[in-house]
Amino acid sequence: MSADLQTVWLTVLLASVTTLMLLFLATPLAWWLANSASRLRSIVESLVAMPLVLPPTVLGFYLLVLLNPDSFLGGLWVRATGDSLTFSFSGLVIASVIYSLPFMVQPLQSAFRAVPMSVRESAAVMGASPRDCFFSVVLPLSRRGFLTGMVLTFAHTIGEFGVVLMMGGNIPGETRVLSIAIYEHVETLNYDAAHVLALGLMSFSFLSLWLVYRVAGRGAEVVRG
Amino acid sequence: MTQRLIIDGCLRRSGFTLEVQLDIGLDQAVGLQGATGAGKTTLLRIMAGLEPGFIGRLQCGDSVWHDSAKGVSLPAHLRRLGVVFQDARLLPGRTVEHNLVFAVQRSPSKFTDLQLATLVRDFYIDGLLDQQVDTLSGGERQRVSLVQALLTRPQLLLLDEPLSANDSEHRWQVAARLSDWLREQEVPLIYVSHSADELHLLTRKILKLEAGQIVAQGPTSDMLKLISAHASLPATVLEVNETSGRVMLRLEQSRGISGISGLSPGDRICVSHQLEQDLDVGASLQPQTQQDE
Repeated sequence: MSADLQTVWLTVLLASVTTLMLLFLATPLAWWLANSASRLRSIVESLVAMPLVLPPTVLGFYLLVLLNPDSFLGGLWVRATGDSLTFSFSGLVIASVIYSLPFMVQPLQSAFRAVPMSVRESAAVMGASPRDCFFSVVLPLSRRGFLTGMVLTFAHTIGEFGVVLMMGGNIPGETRVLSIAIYEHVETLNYDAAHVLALGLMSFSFLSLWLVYRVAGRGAEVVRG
Repeated sequence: MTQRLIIDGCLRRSGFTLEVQLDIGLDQAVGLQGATGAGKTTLLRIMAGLEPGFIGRLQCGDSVWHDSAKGVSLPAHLRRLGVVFQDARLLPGRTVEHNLVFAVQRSPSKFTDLQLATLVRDFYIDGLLDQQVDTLSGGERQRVSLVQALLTRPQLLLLDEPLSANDSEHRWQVAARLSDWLREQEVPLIYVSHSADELHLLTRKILKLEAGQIVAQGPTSDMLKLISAHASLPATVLEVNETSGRVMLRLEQSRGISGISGLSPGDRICVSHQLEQDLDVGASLQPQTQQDE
């Protein structure tokens, strides 16, 4: 059981680090997507949405190819840190950030789009610079988008399987996350242990989604006034 | 030296072109008149730096705000404007007080607490400070937006029908306060309105726009075609403002005035009066024809 606890801890750590990193990466990206009139936009939008439709094994395979110690990027990392990006926690973080990107970007993008241009204009004529306007007007109005994005990203990362299996394997304390542990319990016909973890994941997923819908629902009421 | 506002340029959109050559002194408040769709709001938005499609030159006083030829365009937040948009936009999801504080925090110099309190009271929003802006009526929104604009200590005030949603009593009182404030603070004003009485009270010069062009300009009294007449109008004094010398009167209804032609039943008119020694009222009457909205 202590092995499973370690797995739970590792999974939560992975989801937390991923969510935090995505918060900083996805916010400027979503802002650009929400405002850009560039032709590049639809291309970037498609790239961001890829993990939604791509089999995780495909993503994991390419990450394995791209990040293994013999590759250019993987080699750089090994020289810089002495660690491999494949079959390691840091590698899993990179994989999860890419894998969960749309779950953070899309709610933020719609939240940013929902802030009317007129509100930004009136902030501007009162002397608020674009940066000031973003932090003091847009961010507070996008609270729900941030909450939704963070909850979805966290929950989605918790349930990650295919990508981890492809490029992380099953190393206890390093890359063995919940879904991998369940898979292994089932392989070894240890259904009781699998039940505990699976039921835990089920409840967690339900609670996360319920939180998102509750917040979204309340948002709608507030907007109606 | 008189500050001048110089605009020379155009804005093309599908189905609409605004083309303006303009050079006006800002020592006199300027009114913008014209039918809906004539380009009044667009012209204000160009001045505010909110129309990226504007091609030409725009200069306010010594500072060049926009010069397409030199690739210069001062962003809206650096133009030090006070703007009331037609839809009296406020920052949603906040209280009236938060909205005012937002403006005060970005103003280059602060007001004293007494000035703030006076301003809030004079524009009849002192009872609204704790309210969420989403719960305000149209007239209340406009008054909050107006105070917000004044609080930024603007170098130029752009008001787009800022009182249209107020009932007639509030409209008059607020317009009178605004007029006092502008005189006191010496803030130049560009004022868009359909209402001849507001234009008469607040502006000294009027530009008339038609289909994106300035078709006429002149002193307000000429542009509004004021008819002068003398009449004795019994009235009750409602309020006396010692500092500005302004007196609010309620005229008694259904009194006959002779010597004016061109009026028919149902016309809304504007009576401007100067109190004379013997308390006769010298009145000038001006028909305010219904403008197509």
